[in-house]
Amino acid sequence: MDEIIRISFYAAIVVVLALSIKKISPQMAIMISLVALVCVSFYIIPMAADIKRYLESIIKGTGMDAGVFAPLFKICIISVISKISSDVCRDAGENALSSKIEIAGAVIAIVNCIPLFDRVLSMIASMV
Amino acid sequence: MQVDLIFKVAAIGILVSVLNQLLIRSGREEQALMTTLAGLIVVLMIIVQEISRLFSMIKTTFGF
Repeated sequence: MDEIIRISFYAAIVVVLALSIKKISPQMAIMISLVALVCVSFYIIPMAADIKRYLESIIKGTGMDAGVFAPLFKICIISVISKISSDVCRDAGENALSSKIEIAGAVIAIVNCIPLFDRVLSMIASMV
Repeated sequence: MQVDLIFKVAAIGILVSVLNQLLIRSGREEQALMTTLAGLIVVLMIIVQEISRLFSMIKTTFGF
């Protein structure tokens, strides 16, 4: 509970700092928000690792192949990273670059999915 | 929670913007631009290290 309070207070401080500099030097404001992003990510990632460990234990319990779920986790992380970086670009006013990054994230996610599609198709082909 | 990092970057940012305004008002605009760029490069060096640490942490914890 106090983690989310800590994070929101941290975000409030960073917003005030970035806003006070934005008019004079917008580049520094972007840098400040980037550093805050990185710091909050450092805080969150151990919790996300706990979630992943729990999901993996569930998957092992069902007895399914763990290789099926690895692209799933990868695609989750790819989507999070591409959304955050495209939002940073949009904050800086670079709308074209932000849409480009979102498209790149989608393409990379599909490329990571291809082995999974392969397996499904070969499974269907072996059944027919 | 690394509060000191964000305060370091914010301090550099405030210093750079104050110097920027000072130099612009006293008529030396090209030096103001150079100070801004220098501050940007310093902050970028700090950020790039932290981002590379973040991504290696993502890779190790999520097992990619």
